[in-house]
Amino acid sequence: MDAKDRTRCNALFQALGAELLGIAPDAIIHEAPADPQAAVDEDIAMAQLSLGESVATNRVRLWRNTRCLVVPRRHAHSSAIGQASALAGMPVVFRKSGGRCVAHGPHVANLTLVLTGDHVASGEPYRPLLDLLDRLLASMRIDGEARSVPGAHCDGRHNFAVGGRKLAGTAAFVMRRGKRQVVLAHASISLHFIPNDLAAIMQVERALGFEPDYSALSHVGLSELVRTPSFADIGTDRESCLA
Amino acid sequence: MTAIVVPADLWDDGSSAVLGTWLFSDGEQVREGTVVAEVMRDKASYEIAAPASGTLRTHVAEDDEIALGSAIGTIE
Repeated sequence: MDAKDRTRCNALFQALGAELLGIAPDAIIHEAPADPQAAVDEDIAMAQLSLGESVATNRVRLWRNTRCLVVPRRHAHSSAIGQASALAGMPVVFRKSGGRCVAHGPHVANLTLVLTGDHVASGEPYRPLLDLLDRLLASMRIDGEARSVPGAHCDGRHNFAVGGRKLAGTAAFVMRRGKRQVVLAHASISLHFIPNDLAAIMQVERALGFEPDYSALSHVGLSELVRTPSFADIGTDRESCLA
Repeated sequence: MTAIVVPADLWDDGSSAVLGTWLFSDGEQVREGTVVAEVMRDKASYEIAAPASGTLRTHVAEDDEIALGSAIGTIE
């Protein structure tokens, strides 16, 4: 990502944050610390905090990580992880939610929603998050739908897709202690789609024994969709990005 | 001996899932309430806690399909 793209991603992240605060005034918005695993673990800390509270809670966090790849923790003990990280040229860290490998970095905004009490149904962990995504992106005049996207990495029924391309992927994690339950659902929103991410993701997944076949054409970044003058005159277009 | 059962009310559409991972090995000692496994469904991970303290016996392998209400292991 060049300086223009980085500037554009910063502007988009700030715009998302401003819109989010209009919807959820208590939302936490921040850049992550230097340790990418610690940044991911903050989601779990937020869920554990909610688990320990006796009242129903609703926590929202919008954040960015340093450049890394993130896989479910079931792969944490795989002997292939070291090799996968070396192949990808960036750290591989672990999350508790399901799915496959995803990329984090300045070009990806992560939206985390932690719900307890009456807010939450463990069997439908994505609905509140998708509703929030829908409102957040509608405020930027972007309409999408929840659907699977063939050719997308970490595909699932609860992607947020625009024009048939994946803008955000989702995953969830459910904790239960007795009758107390917490649902953590998070989305990775592509601020600026980088095709090289797919190459790195496929290298890691091959090392883990999968047979990935993803296409850049199945993905889209917010930078392609937000065409207001303040964003359109900075950064690169998709064609130059794919070149 | 106490069965480790996937709670029947974890989700309500009756769909199946897979055993995502065991967080302890067969034969390890675990304490009641410790999360011993994760069940995966639809990119969501559900924690399964030990119902008692004792020796973990795993009856289902990772990636095997499981159903709500089924026993995936025991505590001896």
